[in-house]
Amino acid sequence: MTDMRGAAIRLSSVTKRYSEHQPPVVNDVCLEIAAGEFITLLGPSGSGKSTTLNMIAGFEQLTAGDILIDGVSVASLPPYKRGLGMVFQHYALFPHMTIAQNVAFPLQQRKMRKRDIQRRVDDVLDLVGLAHLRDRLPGQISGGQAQRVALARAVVFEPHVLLMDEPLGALDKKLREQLQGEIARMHRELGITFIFVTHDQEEALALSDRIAVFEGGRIEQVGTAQELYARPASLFAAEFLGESNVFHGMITERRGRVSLVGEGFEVLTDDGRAGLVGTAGVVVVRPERIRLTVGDVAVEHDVNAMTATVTHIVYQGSYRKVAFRTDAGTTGSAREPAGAESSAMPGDRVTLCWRVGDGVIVPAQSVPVVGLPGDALVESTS
Amino acid sequence: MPISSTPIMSASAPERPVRRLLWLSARPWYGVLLVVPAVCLLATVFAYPVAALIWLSFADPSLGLENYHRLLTDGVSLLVLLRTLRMATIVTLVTLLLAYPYAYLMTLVGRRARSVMVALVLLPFWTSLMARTFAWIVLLQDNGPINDLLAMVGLGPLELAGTEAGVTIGMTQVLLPFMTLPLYGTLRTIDRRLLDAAIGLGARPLTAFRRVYLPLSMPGVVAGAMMVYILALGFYVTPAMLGSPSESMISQLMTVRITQLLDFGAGGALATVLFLLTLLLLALVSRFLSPSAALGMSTRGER
Ligand SMILES: Nc1ncnc2c1ncn2[C@@H]1O[C@H](COP(=O)(O)OP(=O)(O)O)[C@@H](O)[C@H]1O
Ligand SMILES: [Mg+2]
Repeated sequence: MTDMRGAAIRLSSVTKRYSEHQPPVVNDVCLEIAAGEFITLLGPSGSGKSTTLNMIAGFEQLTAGDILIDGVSVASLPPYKRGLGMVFQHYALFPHMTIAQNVAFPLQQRKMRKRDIQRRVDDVLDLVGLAHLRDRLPGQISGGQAQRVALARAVVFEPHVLLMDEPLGALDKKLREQLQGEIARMHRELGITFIFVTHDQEEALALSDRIAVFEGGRIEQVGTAQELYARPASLFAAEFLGESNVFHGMITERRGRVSLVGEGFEVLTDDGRAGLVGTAGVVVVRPERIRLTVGDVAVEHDVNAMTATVTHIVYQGSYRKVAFRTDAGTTGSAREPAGAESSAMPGDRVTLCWRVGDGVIVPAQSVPVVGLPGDALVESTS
Repeated sequence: MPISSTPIMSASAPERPVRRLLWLSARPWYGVLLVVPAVCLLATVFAYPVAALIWLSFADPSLGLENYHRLLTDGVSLLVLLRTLRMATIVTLVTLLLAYPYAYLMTLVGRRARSVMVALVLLPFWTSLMARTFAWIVLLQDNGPINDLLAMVGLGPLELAGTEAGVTIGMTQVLLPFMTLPLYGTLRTIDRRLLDAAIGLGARPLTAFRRVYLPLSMPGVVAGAMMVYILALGFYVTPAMLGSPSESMISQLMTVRITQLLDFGAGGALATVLFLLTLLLLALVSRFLSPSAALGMSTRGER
């Protein structure tokens, strides 16, 4: 298990259409995945994540585009010649074979010698800590154990890439977190490329080197968790990952700054996306960036201020969430860590402050951001 | 399963039948009443005659193993028994070869096509066995349509009517549904995504089928084969009408012994042997499958 290494994968304008009359299910997806990277395809149900993964695995044919593994096109190869590991949400263990036989299966397909198979199966079952279950049938083990076996079976033949389609989706929260830890450890120890599909943003944030946000068959944005959180490229990406305060208006240029003018308010940003000036847009501000003060405050330089009324407060243990409605009618919330709360209470008049740099401008509607010139956050292979 | 009261049900309007059933399940031993009619019927029309025949095989004309000795030495009974076993085996294999792809296709097609396919399987049940067997006599004649067809491609004429081949063809057609339905019952429960998993792990499609699908389909294969084999062992009408007396099967021999020779002892011995063979088969198979699965009643193996 030591000399494994990952493969680089390149999706180039990958498109899948099931029917002429319907829009493509996967639409012109471009993505570069580095060797050894842990990338997550994140998006709501039906956004085309599984279809994309199945095209990489070879279970689905591409309508257009190409998929390259280490620079070689695999688009016309059947799945059994691609040599990728795959883990499904439904485990897909063979019910008539013991755990050891399940794990041995891919090695037998590769015509390995019996003694070597035995040794490798033992090694990999040790890796997932299930050596004691080797002679059980899949029907006799728990869901968490079944998924570990599926993981073992998918990596036992030392593939360069491991594909996982919502592997933890059928497990309860506690097991899910435990297995997340194990998957992260396997990624470190094996050093191969992981492509992970989920609709759970927390899972994506916890595991991934990078995340590709899917929506409607397209990639909305690709980046590290921090990039996606701090600088979402679209309203969808902003709202799908974490919570957001959203201010709608027209994007204008004023006092040398890109700002957003709404009905009865103006928000300044230092966002450099001049290309959006003159269009309808949105400023996104994360709740923990907003500072609340009861009453009026003197507005500092480079700070946006807005008056609002507190509507209600939710305690979440380590922080509290203060929901408000601005005088201009926008609802939102601020997050205050325990020990640093303001004295704001429901019904109080407060001033919201956030630094100019904390607001991010995005287009009002989702338009494909792939290929926007000069946008370093968006991976584009075009 | 004691159910103390019925507060959940009592609110609904049509509560009477529900009450009745709960009343039954609240007093489990009353449930025994439900099987009394079936037990009475089976006892009088099945168990008693079988027991009587077995008894006669040892007691008629005189107490002892005389009838079994004759069965082994009369030069006919053993021959007929072996022929019966051979033909039942052939029929079972042929029905399996025909039914497996058909049942497999049934799991792939859409709902509408599937109901057509089920109807085609059940079609034979809507016509009487006699009518179908007469039809086979016509079809299989020396100058019947099948031999005409064979002649057109330069084969034949084959002697089909009145031969083992003809009987095999007729029995296969009659018994095909008993193979197809249990087989389909099992195949439809097989998760086809397992095939994808196998292919993803490096198996070619045929290997994936052989290593994953085929083993998972075995309960259905065994159930269907059991059903067909047991039915074929005791088949009477088709061999009697399509075959010839010189190539008779065991049930024909039994009929002759009992109704024409009035030799109840010899007939009983044949019946007993057939009965024991069937039980032996069921016992063998239930080592691999639960008894209900062996009879095609459940669609899954025990595991
Ligand atoms: N075989 C198919 N035929 C037609 N449409 C399909 C098929 N498979 C998936 N789809 C459609 O493709 C879209 C994307 O599906 P999928 O990739 O499974 O989404 P996700 O995994 O992101 O939930 C869905 O709207 C789904 O209905
Ligand atoms: Mg999916």
